[in-house]
Amino acid sequence: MAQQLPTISPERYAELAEQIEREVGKVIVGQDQLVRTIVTCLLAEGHALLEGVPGLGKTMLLKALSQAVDLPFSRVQFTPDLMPADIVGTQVLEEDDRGHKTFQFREGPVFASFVLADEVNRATPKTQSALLEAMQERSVTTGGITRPLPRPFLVMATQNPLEMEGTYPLPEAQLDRFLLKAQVPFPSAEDLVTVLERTTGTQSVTLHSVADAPTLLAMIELTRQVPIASHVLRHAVDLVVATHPDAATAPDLVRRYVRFGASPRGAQAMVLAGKVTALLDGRPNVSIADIREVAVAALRHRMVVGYEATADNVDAAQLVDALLAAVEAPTAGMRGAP
Amino acid sequence: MNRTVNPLLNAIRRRLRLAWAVATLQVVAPLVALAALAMVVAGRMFDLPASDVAALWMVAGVVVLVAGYAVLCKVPEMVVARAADRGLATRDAFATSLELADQSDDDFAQRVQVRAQELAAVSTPKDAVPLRWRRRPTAVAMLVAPAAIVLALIANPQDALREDRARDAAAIEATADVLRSEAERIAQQPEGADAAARLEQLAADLEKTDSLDKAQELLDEAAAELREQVGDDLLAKKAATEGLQRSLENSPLPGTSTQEAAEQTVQQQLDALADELPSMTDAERAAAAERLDDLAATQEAGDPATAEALRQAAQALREGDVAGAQARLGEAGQANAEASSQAAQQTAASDAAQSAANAGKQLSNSGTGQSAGQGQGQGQGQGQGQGQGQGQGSGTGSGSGQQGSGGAGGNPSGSVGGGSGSPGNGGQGGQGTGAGHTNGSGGPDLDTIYDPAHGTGGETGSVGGGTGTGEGGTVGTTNGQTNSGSSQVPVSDVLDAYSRQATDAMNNPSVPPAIRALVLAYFNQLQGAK
Repeated sequence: MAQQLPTISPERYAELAEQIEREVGKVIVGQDQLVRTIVTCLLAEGHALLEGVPGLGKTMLLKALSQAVDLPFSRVQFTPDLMPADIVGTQVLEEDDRGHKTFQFREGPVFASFVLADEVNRATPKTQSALLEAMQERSVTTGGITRPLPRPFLVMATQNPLEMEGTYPLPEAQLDRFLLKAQVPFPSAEDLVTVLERTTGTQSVTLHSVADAPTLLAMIELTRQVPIASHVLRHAVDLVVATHPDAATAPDLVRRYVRFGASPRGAQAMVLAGKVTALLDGRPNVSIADIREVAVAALRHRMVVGYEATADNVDAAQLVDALLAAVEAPTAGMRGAP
Repeated sequence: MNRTVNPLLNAIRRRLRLAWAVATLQVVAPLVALAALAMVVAGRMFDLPASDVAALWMVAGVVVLVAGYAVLCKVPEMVVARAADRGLATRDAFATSLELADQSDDDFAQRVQVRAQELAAVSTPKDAVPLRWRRRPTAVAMLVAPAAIVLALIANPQDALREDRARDAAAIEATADVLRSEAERIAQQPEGADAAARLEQLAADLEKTDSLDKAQELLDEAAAELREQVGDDLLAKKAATEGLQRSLENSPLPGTSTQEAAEQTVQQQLDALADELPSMTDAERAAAAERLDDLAATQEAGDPATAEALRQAAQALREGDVAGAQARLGEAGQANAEASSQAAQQTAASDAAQSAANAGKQLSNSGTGQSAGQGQGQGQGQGQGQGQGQGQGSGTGSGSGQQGSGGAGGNPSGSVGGGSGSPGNGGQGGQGTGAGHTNGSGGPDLDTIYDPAHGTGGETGSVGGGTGTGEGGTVGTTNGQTNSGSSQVPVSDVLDAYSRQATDAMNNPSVPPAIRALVLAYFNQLQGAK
């Protein structure tokens, strides 16, 4: 039986999103863009991949988010010896009051609305793949039984770029499951001072819950209703096509450094994230600017770069920037028009 | 869409047309300006009379073409909406609104429409489609276009050349007309058909050429060709034939009355004499023979065939051979008729040659414009006398003139005084004169005549021939230096003096009556024309 969702107007949508961001911002200082990315993933019902050094508040961010929307949160520290069952759960033998022993499924940490997969690239591919089904299908299959995961379901995985020893880089298929990828920047000195003031004193920050699961689901539903004009959709497609080195519109940097371009999920990610961006901006339609705004976050992890890029110290963000410069926003198609 | 959005989009559509026209003109303006400048410059380097107008038309045509297309081209609504979104930074509100126009029951579609209306209410077409000026092409056009305009306004050297060419063409045309009228006149002369045809042909050839030099060349060639047809014996032949005619008119031969003489030809009179011979007495025949001898003597120089026939007729009469005399008289009449015909042909050719030469002078003068200069000629006279023991002498003289330096149209000429011989006396040296004259604008005064006394100061050298028996000759040469000045004077100024000199000269009994009558008739004609 389908859950009855509350009716959410776009104005309420934007208001709630702003409240969520404000609550999270109480504990996460100077990471507004990161918070916006996570909220976007939440409202687009996608997953986020964060990359940044330890200690920047990634766990705190997700924890604060779970508090702000009053949803369960779990954290999994990925290590080389982590097993799939440690993530999805396992069957355990239990004895009831009458002495009957039965196998009972004990849910793993993935059965939470918000899952923090910390240092996900340190687990083996087998364990990583356990997360794959959960992320894509939003369900877990164990012992022949498929169990749906709660909605909303947000996986926020982190990668530590510094420790390459003993890591298993995420396969392209799994990377593709992340809606957006964000860099977690080191805070500025002023922000750091604020962080210290808030975390080293006696005062503790109290977060208020501003939404619940049904509300979030209604917001997610509303996100998908946002209309998008055909030329905006076409621009998203043009951007994805241009990520392929053999495409006619691909810029030189892409031709030189990219081995494989983004999948169609890249376009889907841009459109969904663009819809969230439009609603958060108080607009009822997606614009080309929205698409271009989320292009870096949506495409950077979907482009498989070659060794030459590493050798030349060219990262994916630079490639997407080059892409945006090469594939300009479409004009009206008439000389003299803006 | 609605009443708020539609007017804005319609205004933006008009603004887009204007922006398109402005942008397109900025693209083509430098090219058009350069092309116009090239056309104007080409019009000043080559004979392209319509280059300036063509450049103007090209510019106007491009402007009209661009403006016309801007007005008539179809601007789709989606293009307008997207232009509005880009220009107003409305984040695709109008384009999305346009796409969702038929989804009025959808909440988001309605919101999109409302947002588009709100944005339309505060937007202007000017903000949506600002006119952009590209500095570089505009600067190029602004530099080149004034240059082309200034160049088009200043004098075009090709105009003067074209005027010259038109003047030349008109002069050639006028010359051709003159030649045609001359041809008509000459065609009415006896035996003048060939010469007239040549002039007609020349006129036709002239009309086919547009070059003054080429026309001049054609005229010179024709004049030379006609002069060749004239030959050297025209005057002598003409004097002989016409003199004989006059002589027989004044003093008819036996068999012809005085009244009939004026209307009969020489041949008719000779035939009449031949018919009369059988009935004549010996004395009458002897007188006739004497008369025939006299007539033969007048024909010796100009018409030897007639002279010989007349002499043989006279001889036959003295010998009593009436039939032979009749036959010879018939031959004489035939020879005279042929000589008269030849003289007429040569006269016509001479007139035609003179017409061609005059036309050439007229053409060259009309084409050269203003020219100032001083003519200076040098005359050279040469006299040669030959004395013979028989007491007959002859003198020849020749003169040549050299064109003076600085004379634009210096016309060197030399008039030669023929030497007159007397028994034992050498010939009189020729008179050498050289004359130069200047040609100003326009053609020469056709009422003027060459006067050796004007503009010339040529010295005259007289050389006396040797005297004695046997052959003896003295050859003398003298050079005469001409003074500067014009040798062309009005006919009226010199006609009286020339007539007087001619009359005095004709009083010389040695001049044949026929020549005397011819010269006097010539001057009478001139006096009548005056």
